[in-house]
Amino acid sequence: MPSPSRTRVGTVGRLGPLVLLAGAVLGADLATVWLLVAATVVWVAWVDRAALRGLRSRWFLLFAAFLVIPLSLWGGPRTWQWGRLALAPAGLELGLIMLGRTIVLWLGVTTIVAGLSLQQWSALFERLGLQGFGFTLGVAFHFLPSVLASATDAWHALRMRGGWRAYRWEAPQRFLTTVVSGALRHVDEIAAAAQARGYDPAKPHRAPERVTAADWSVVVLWAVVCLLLRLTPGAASLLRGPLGG
Amino acid sequence: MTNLRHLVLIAIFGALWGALELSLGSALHALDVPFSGLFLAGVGIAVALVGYRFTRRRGSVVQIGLVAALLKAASIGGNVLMPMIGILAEALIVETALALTRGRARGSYVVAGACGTLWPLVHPFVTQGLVAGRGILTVWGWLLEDGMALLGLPAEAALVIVGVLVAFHMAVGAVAGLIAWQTAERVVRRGGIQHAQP
Repeated sequence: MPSPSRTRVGTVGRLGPLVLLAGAVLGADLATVWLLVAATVVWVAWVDRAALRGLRSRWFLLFAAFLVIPLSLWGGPRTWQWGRLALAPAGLELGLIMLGRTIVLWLGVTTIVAGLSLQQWSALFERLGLQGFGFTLGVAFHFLPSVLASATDAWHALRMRGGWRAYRWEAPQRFLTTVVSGALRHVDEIAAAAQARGYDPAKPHRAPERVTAADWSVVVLWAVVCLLLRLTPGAASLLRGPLGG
Repeated sequence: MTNLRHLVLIAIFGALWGALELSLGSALHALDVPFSGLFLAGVGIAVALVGYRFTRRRGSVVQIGLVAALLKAASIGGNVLMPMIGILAEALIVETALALTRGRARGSYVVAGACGTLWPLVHPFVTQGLVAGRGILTVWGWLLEDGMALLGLPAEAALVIVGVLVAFHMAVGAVAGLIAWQTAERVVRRGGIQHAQP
């Protein structure tokens, strides 16, 4: 159940800060990257707590291990001795920076993609001047399984007729021709069906996404936070340890 | 005036490119096939160019790429950001090349394809070098190492290595452009004529 404060902020207010955070993390140093990671995690926990589950997934933990461990072992001169383990500080720093950036970008993209419905994506692109793009996207999503099935059938048919050996350079052309011809058969049916339902690309049925003062306030607030984190040397020094210096 | 048929054509060719990325792309990346990015770019660009033959409107290729990128975004799996950047960049390059060459002849398709498939060479510089933060010089080092291993040349021949890689990428794109042109013409000749723009 969303809290009253959450309902006052719309899509722009909820997801806009993630775009700012993703932009701010590019080119940042280690301490700033991890401050931005903390800020992103806090914001995503507020916007869509479920998106944080990905950080605990086996896939992500494996990715993080494969990114940081090899770099910390072989990413530069191993000047850190820790018992019998010798580490490369330069490699470890690079690995941690890359991991931090990946977390911010990945969390941002997955939350934005999951947080916008197909209709909201359509409204966004239509607002940017792509008239009828919502309709296009809807047709593409519904058409995808049929295209995959048709391409698989065409591929098997070509393979059984001898495939590459039989047709050489003509094989890709034959494959594409079959798939494209099959897809084009549906163009008129889909257009006629949409017309019969009274769809007019020039007059979309949806109400435009409302952007309130609260949305802009949140976005401006996060823009200031991101700027402060990037521009103020003191902010990053909070986390600055032996690696961040 | 936006017409419905145009929108449906964009949707269909976007879905075709998206389907290729989702099926073939995932398989090739999982198997770590060399030049899989280049191969995927070539096939995707060929589909977009065939789509352009049936729409012939400015911005069609970018819209087809946008649909494919959003289909990729909605797919289940790990990293979708980098392939999305790739698809959009390729579509943008092909659209620009078509606009500059008027996009109405075989040569125009070949040039657009050749320019579009240059992106997979640049892609790691943007995604690994800038976005992931490994640095441009590190990616340059990988490129040279791969080129040296592939061509058996020393590091001093950096320009030759890059030249050969650029030529190879452009050749694959040119072939993709040629296949797209011939496919589109074949479809037009064999009954797809009612969809084709003059």
